[in-house]
Amino acid sequence: MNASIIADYLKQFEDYAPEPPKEADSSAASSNSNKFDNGHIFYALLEYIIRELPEREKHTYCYSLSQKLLRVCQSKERNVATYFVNKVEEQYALLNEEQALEYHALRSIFNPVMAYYHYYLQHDYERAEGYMLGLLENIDYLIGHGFLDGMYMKIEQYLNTARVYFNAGQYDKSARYARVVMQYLLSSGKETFEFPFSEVLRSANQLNSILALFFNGLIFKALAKPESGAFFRNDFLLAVFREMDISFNEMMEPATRDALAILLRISEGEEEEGLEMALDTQIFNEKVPASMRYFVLTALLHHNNAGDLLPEPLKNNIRLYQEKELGLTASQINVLRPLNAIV
Amino acid sequence: MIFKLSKYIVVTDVLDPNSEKQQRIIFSTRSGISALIEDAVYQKLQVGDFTGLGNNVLSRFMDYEIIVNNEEDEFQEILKLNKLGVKDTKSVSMTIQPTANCQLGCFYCGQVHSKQTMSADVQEKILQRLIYQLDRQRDTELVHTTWYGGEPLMGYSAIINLSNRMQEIARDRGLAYGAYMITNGLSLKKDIFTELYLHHKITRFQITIDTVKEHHDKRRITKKGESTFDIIMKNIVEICALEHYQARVKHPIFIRMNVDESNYQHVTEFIDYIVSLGLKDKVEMGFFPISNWGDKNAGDEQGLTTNEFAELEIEWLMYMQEQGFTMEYILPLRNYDVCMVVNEASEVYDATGNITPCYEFPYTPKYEDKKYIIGNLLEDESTYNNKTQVRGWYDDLATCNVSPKCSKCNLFPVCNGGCPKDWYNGEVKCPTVKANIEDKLVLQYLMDKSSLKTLM
Repeated sequence: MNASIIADYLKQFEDYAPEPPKEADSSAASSNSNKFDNGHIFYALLEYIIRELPEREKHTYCYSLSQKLLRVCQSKERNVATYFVNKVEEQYALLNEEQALEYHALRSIFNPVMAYYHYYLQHDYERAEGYMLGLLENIDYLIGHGFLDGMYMKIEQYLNTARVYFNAGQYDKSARYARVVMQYLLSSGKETFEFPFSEVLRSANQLNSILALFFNGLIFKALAKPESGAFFRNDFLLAVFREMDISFNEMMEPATRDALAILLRISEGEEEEGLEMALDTQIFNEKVPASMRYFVLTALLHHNNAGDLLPEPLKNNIRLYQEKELGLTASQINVLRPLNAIV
Repeated sequence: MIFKLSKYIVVTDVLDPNSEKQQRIIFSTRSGISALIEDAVYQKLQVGDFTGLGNNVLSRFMDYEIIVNNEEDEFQEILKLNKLGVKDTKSVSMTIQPTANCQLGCFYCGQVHSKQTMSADVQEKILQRLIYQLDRQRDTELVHTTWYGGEPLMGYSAIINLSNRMQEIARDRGLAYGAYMITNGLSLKKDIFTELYLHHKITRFQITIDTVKEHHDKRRITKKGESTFDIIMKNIVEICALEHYQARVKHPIFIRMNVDESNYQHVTEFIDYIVSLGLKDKVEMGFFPISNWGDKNAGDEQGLTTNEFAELEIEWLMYMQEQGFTMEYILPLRNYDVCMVVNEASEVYDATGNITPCYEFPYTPKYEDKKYIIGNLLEDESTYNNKTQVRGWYDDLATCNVSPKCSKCNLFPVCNGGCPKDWYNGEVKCPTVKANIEDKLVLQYLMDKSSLKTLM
């Protein structure tokens, strides 16, 4: 494909101007209410336990402990974190497997944050793996018991497990977990899980919000780590997304489906075809996950050095678009793919 | 498991007894979080009845440490967390005294001044010590310096040299750098301010003005007895008029008023004076009780009692708010450290090279004993005493060796003992917030309702 065609196509960014920061308004909260928020899932689990079991205060205390540990991990207070880890371990020691619901429910509350602690603060991937794999069993029990929202925990746990294996350099294992969960989320069927995702989904908005989170989590991670594969032919991404034999969930945004097809074409070496598809579709809109738009945009700019043909103001606009619209910091852009080398 | 209402709470009276909603403010000192609660809920909390609380409220009360595990020895748990939390500090903090000299001879100052300024050798050793601290503290994100004295501006060349080098070290390691200065303000001309503010990242200049001219000039005088009020105020006014004055922060100048029984009547007058100069949006102000320092017992001799000061402080805060000052958050924060003394990443370096854990020790004869000094930068590190008296504050509290009152005080988590040095000296002096915390809760509520997490 001629670079000038791409340059013409990229003129769509001529009018790009970042939107001013939006004022908080109360209606925004309701329109976003179906967005994926994993914190709510743990609270939903607490409420489920409270409904099903006595000892409301004890279970709330356990939930509160896990939240405190999560917060200090997020703020990298590694010494304070040990205090809460000890408290959590005291609670683990009191669990009795014969009281199955409590056993699996409390482990479902503790395990993710313990995995996070070992993964994020200690960089101990093996221990993190142990907590995560145990958690998958716990969640399956809860789902079987009737806590259907456990499916949200399950999908997130698959993503987390993929992340941990990825960071440990175990790309094959990582791709296996990622593929299973992505097949499930993209499909209208139940695949290897207990029931189709649509049975617990609140709305199409929610599905697309979850998909954005998962796509971005996997694609940005892969592109930033050359060991997982070349930028435009990333073995990890191919292993996750290639040849998914599924019927797509109807609630999925069509433009995201197009973007996925383009990403796969390019990654499989059919760059021309992929870019032609890109020119024929409308993927540069906010409904498409930022990582996919970033990938395709980068491919367009690279193809036959099309980026060199762009006038300076347009280059600036594209950089602004990457920062403001795709939400990337300058350093992220540089880690992913030095933009200066492109435009 | 059994749960209880934490003993580390403060509860106000019902805010408006005539209102349909009988509400109180509850402040958890273990978390530093305040909330509005209905009186009926509070009555139940007091008797350990949590059944009426919704799941969400119960969860928040546990999160805020208002309801806690009954088996906990709360005091020991707080100390455990404090000791761990201090290790999580993300900054290396240095208080540097580039000179032992000062133009002033304030009657309450415990320092003995001399013409000693910091040698190049000591400066080099400070930089080496900084590198040592940074190597030791792997999570450091910030290098922070407080320039202190004597009067630090009398050691200006050392400040410039050290600041340039420390900024370079921070930059090389990808760390942030910031600085404060505590100065009498006499030499803080606008050009010097500009250099320090813009190029040496000093974003807070604490200048003491002991209320109005009449009183300031009786106490903050030069060693020859000359008055200083007019010179300092002229400097402040000129600095505040600079175009770049608020380029980095909103309030680069903090005016500290040391208050005792001789000048407390003039605090509001001084506030009016600052307003009349058009500085209310330019400076921050705070009031502090005169206390004993070293061998100077000004606190005993003419200080206000804690209760007196606490009552006046609320009046002054309200007055400032009425005059339109931007008010900062006035409630005490839950910190893991009591002050710099318990933090090994925080040290004071004086002009002679002495390293101390507390900025009140240098140049102060009362604290010349070895138990107060970590070592001297010019000596070999093997001679350093890393277990100076005040560094062991939390261990001593845990065994109730000092300050048995602290373990019984509901404000302990936000105070952590106030001033360990005073306790070791046998002086029992709780911070004034102990006497006015309820008023502060109400005032904060009135100042900014949104800063409270309303639960019900």
